[in-house]
This record gives sequence, structure tokens and C-alpha cells, in this order.
Amino acid sequence: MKALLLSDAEFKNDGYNEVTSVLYSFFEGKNIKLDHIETATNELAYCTGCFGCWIKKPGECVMQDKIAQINQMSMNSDVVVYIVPIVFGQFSANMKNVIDRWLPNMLPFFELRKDGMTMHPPRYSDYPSHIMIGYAKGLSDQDEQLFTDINKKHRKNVEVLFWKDSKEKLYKELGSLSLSRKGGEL
Amino acid sequence: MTEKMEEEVRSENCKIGPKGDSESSMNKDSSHVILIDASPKVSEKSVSEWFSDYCRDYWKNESFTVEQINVRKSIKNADLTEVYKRMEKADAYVIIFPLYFFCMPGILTRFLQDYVCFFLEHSEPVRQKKKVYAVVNCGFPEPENNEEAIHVIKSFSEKIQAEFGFGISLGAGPMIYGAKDAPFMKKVFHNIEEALTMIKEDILAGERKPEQQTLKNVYLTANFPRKLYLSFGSKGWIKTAKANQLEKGELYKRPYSK
Ligand SMILES: Cc1cc2nc3c(=O)[nH]c(=O)nc-3n(C[C@H](O)[C@H](O)[C@H](O)COP(=O)(O)O)c2cc1C
Repeated sequence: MKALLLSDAEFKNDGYNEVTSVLYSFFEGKNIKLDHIETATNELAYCTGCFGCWIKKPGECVMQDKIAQINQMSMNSDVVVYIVPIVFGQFSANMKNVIDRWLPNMLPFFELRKDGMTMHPPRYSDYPSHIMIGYAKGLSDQDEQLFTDINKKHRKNVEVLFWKDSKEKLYKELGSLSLSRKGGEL
Repeated sequence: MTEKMEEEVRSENCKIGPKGDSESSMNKDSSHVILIDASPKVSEKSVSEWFSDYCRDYWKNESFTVEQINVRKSIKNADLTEVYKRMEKADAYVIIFPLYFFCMPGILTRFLQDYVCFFLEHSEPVRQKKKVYAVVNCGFPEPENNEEAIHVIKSFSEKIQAEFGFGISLGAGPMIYGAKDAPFMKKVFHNIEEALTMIKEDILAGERKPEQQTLKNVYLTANFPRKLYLSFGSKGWIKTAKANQLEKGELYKRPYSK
């Protein structure tokens, strides 16, 4: 099995260091091979909404930078863990570039879901499990709820955890999650 | 709690240089409103840019002044500190952007994240309370998709101690723009104008008193059969791909499959 950690080099505080150390030992304990890619400011271009990844070079971003490596490794992992600094209740800028440029991995078409909402169908038959671990000093309940809603209300196959100054708690929560690839709706 | 978060942003992440000159605030008697268009689109006119122009035209005879800022161009060309200083002097912002993965696009996140740093570094003793409004448009027809993105702008407003007004959410944004002159759009535009009038009145009313009711977000979409909208959308992708010499089957490529 393979896991990939994605994180933001702009917000490396104590919380960040603790979360990464928990993840390193968690995956080592499970004998899962782990890769870790940090994204620094200005390292990834922001998505310009050109949709080239759908109608020019299907499945790949047309801008050439580290995103090709991130998406290639992400799509070939069993689990991808995003360590996310929470800013205004959502992803920080560097992590948001990683998220936005995941768009190539979906198809351009639309499907109407049972809950009455539209979504894009999957491009691949199965995907890694996605785990978001949010952290921020003094995170408000409101921003925490917002981050959960952004990730869980509209998307399937995304788990959301928060760093709450307890390694044991994070260990336990990680232990209760599925770490394998999944098919079905995005 | 917010203070701690601010402390965090201040200590670790401020890219904006040291405090600049503390120009005295503009001598003005009318309110100043900045329309912030934050679509990252480069070569085609965006729904957000069109909406920014629409607001500018709609408010052209009002008693407040209106200025437009395009986030992509500001990041690319200008000295951001200069842009942020202009923002500091405004009384209200209308932040207009597309929904990307159910929240703000990366480019706007960067712009506002750095603005909070600027704000904290340049705090002036007496600040007037700004008002902030959000206009979010998304590709899917259900305007409910934009709810969290509006909350994100509310959360941003709190970080700069501004007063959040409300959000306008547009589902099927590309159609509202693309078919704006079609008769079936009349109702939506009537509602958009009502919402813009609400923003205007709220700006002119000044600071909201605690006992006043909070304003409700306005959710709008094209008055058009949803299944047809989605099927037009899908056909549109196939047509554009053809123009790029791609057959329909090629749209399903899986470059990252083992
Ligand atoms: C990376 C990316 C993510 C997007 N995410 C969503 C989404 O979560 N929900 C949605 O309805 N539309 C989504 N869209 C579609 C845009 O919101 C839509 O095309 C919008 O009209 C663009 O506005 P603009 O012209 O002002 O840039 C996304 C588009 C891109 C490029």
C-alpha cells in the first residue's frame, strides 16, 4: 500500500510538526510506504479555469509545474492525506491550488445525484481515500464547521479530521478510517 | 480565538513589507465601494468580470463612488501594497468570484490571505467599519452550492473586523451571463437588481445596530429546465473538444492509470 501526504510549507508551526510526526509513525506502523510533498508559496500556479484539462489534454493540467507529479502520485496512492492550514474556514492559498488543480481527475460531464445536486462523474474507476486534517491556532467552531461542510456536504469519499493538540486523539481517529481505494461517485 | 489566529498569520505568513506611509484617509463625503472581481480567467470574459461591470453600471448614478479591482491583474502587474492601501480607504467591498471546489479559487484565497496580513501590519488607530458583500457564481445549476463560499467571505470579514452584509448566489452562472438578454432571464435580472438595491441601501444606511436583523443571502438560478441545462453543458464540452481536434472518446482518457 502507498500513502501520500500533501502539505503547505507556508504554515509550518508546532501543530504542523506534530501532525506530520503522527502521520509518519502511523503509516510506518502499518507498513505503508509514505511519500510527502510540501508546497511552498509560488511553487504551484493557481488554476485559471481554462478547462484545458477537459478539452485540450484530457486528464492533465496544461500548465507545467509540480502538479503533474502530485496528481500522478495521488492517483496511484491508496490514501492521500492533506494537511491543511485553515484560513477563513477553508483551505489556505497554497493548498487551494493543489485542490483546484485536481480538476483533471474528473470528467467534464454532469450527473444529477439522489440528493438533488449536480456533480461531475469520475474519470477513473477508483480513487484513493481522501483525508483532510485541518489545523490552525485558535480555530473557531464556526470555521471548523465550515471546513467540514465544504468537504463533506458536496463530496463523497472525503474524511475530515482536526488537529486538537492531542497526538493520541489523532492516532485513534486515523485508526478508525478506511485507507483503501474506493470507486463510485466523487 | 480570532486574535490567536491573527497572531499566527502575522508572525508566520506576512509577505507584505513593513508599514508604509500612513496617508491620512481620503477627504471625502461620499462612500466609496470597491468591486473586487476575482475570476482567474485569462483569455475569455468571465462571469465575475461581467457582473462587476453590471454593478458599476447599475450604481452609476448613486451617491457613492465605485471602483473596480481585478484580482488577477492586481497580482500580476501592480504593487499589491498599493492595491491594499486603496482597499483600506474604501467603505465597502463587493467580492465577486467563481466557486472552485465549493469555496474560493486559489487566486482569491492568496489575495485575501495576504490582505489580512497587510491589515494586521498596518492597523491604524481609528478605522471605519467596512461592509463586505459576496457574489458567488457556480457552474452547477443549484445555487445552494455557493452557501459555504459565502460563509468563507463572512469569516474573512471577521478577520478584518468588517461587517458582513449578505451574499448573492448565482447557480448556472455561465447561462445567466450567456443568455442575459433572453426573455426567460427577465425574472432573474429583476431579482439581481433587487439584491443590488439591498446592497446599496445597506451601504448608505451606515453601521448596522446590534438589534437590526441580519440580512439573508439571495439564491438565484437560471429559470431553465435543469436536465436540459446539464445536457447542453455536456454537448458543449464535446463540441469544444472537437474544435481542438479531439474525438468524444478521447475526453475519457486516464493518463494516470497504471
Ligand atoms: C477548478 C474549478 C473548480 C470548480 N468547482 C466548481 C464547483 O465546486 N461547483 C460548481 O458548481 N462549479 C464549479 N466550477 C465551475 C465555475 O464555478 C464556473 O465555471 C463559473 O461560472 C466560472 O465563473 P467565472 O467566469 O467568473 O470565472 C469550477 C471550475 C473550476 C475551473
